[in-house]
Amino acid sequence: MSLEVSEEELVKGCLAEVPAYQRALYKRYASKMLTVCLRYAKNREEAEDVLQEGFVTVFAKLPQFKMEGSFEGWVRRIMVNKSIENYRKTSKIYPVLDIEDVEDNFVSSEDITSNISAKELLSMIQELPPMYKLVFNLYAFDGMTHKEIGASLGIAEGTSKSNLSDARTLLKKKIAISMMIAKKNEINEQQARG
Amino acid sequence: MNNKPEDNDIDRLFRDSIDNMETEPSDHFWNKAYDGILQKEAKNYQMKILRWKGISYTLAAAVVALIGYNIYTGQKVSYVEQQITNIEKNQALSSESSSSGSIATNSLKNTSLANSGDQSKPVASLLHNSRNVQPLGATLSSNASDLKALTKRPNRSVATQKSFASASGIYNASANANQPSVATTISANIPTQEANTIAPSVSRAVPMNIIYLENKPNSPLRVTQSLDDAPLAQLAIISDTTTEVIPVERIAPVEPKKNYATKISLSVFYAKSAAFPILKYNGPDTKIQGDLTTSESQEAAYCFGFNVGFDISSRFTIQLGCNYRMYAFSTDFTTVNPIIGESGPYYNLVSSAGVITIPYIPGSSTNPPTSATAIGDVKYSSVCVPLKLKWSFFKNSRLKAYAVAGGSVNVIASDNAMIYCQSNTASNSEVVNVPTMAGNNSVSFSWLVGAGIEFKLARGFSVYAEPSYQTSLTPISANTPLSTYPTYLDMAVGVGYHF
Repeated sequence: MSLEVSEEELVKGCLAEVPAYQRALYKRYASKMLTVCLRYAKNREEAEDVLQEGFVTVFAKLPQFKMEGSFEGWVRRIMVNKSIENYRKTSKIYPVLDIEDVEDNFVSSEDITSNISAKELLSMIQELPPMYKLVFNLYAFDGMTHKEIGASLGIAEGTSKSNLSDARTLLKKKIAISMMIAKKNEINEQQARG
Repeated sequence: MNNKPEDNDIDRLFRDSIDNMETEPSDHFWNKAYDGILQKEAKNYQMKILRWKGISYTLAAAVVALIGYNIYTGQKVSYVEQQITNIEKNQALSSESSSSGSIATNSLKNTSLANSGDQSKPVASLLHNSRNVQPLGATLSSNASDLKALTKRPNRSVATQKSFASASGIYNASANANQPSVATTISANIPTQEANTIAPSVSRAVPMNIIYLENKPNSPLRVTQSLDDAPLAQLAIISDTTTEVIPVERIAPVEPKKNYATKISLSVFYAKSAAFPILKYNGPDTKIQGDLTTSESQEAAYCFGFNVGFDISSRFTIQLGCNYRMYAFSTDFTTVNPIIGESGPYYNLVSSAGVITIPYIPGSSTNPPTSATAIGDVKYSSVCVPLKLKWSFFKNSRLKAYAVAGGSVNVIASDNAMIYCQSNTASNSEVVNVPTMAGNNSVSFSWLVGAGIEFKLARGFSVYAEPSYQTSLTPISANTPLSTYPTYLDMAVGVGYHF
């Protein structure tokens, strides 16, 4: 006989402070949540620190979880909040960047995903200036509106929209560069073979 | 600002590519995370140990205090005996220069009303006593075991005669009524069975049959229920300044002492345990043993059952019992490697309760088989039949302190595990139920030693607390990389009944 450990069982086990369940909770969500934290962090080390703090908060606030809705979604929300908190602690200056014009004829998603890995896309987000990165993540991944983002980060709604637009422009530029490099490498390989 | 279609495309591109992506944290992260859990576990474990230590020390202190009290009481009585012996010597000396008769003693003997057996009737003893009707010393010296003369200090209220059952205090003792009394610390029990015998709880008590009082008490001396069986004639109280009768009366009806028809007793108990399995690795490498010491943590350990006792003497009892013992623990994340069997790969997880064979790991490929990570909860239970010898080294009417030692035959009842496992090459995980472990002996033997305190309630019932230590003589596992000798520190509480 075998059975899946349900979220409810996992939560109950952790509430009872059973170490095996606590470890299982780490094991089940650490990989997914590290990706969330990586999107917001400067580097892997910072992301793992945020992840660690996030799990501490998860265990501390576990009694408040009402078993309504997705537990994973709840954990993810905590990780996002921790990431924002981390940003507030570490970023004192809002960066100002000059965004160069990027060609409007954006290449198709299929072309991009066939040439650029998810890991590279994640790196692109990480390389964004902190405020752009936050706004882009909150809007594109975590489904927040500009009004919510503004309230969460203490910025004007218009600033949020502007930052999102700049973030997208930067990402398009990075993608275009990556595509060019990928194409160039492809041509070099063909020439080497030919 | 409305989103352009390509804006939504880029959002979706990133979301679709990254949102379901998983990134394995570094070893540093895992170490830090598990350190936190392990530290918490270690703290919990230390708290458990401290709690057990506290209970053990308290019980040990109580036992030592009881023994100390017993010894101290014995010494006090011994001192009194010495004092009275001195008095007797003085009396003997004075009797040599005297030729008077022993009127007091004769009177006492002639008024042994206690033998009447009529408990409702006030019982009195009359002694013709005056300072001139002496010497009593001659009687005392010739029949010292029957008669002692003590004068209670007048500032001591006779209303506290209840304490005569085990009288203690400063008395003015004199060899006879003519001699000056000397302040003497007296601690003694009035005989409760027959004249000049002592209560069983006091090893060296002073036979104290007559108490001289300097002043006549204002109220009758009362004999409490604790003196039910005492021959009242020998509790005659006289005053050294008057010849009036001082009545001694019962204040409560005497309940006949229950005569136990048998020497059989039955007790039921529940014990909370701390388990410390002793591990012996059957090979040159002790890695597994070391790993298990740090990776297993106790979840629950308890024991409950009953004992039937047979008194072979007033101090020794043989006990035969039956109990159910449970030990549950969790294992830490362990990497298990595939073993190729006839029907495909399987995995062995070595635990202190035996080898857990996991028949499959979900998501693991069979060609080539891959390693996996497993954690789980393990339960090991047994039915035990202990045979014990119980020695009561301290007893009084209410309390008994004892030591117990013996052996036990233990038959395995269940050894199962719920293993949460995950292939190292796949993300899905499952809990696999392993109903029984490989290579465990069905029978093992152990020895035990303990101590306890028993408090008697009414009608043959008693409650007791008994800490004990039990360890296996034979391992529970055979033909496995590890031999496990289960060891338990139990704290049992129970209820007993003596038929």
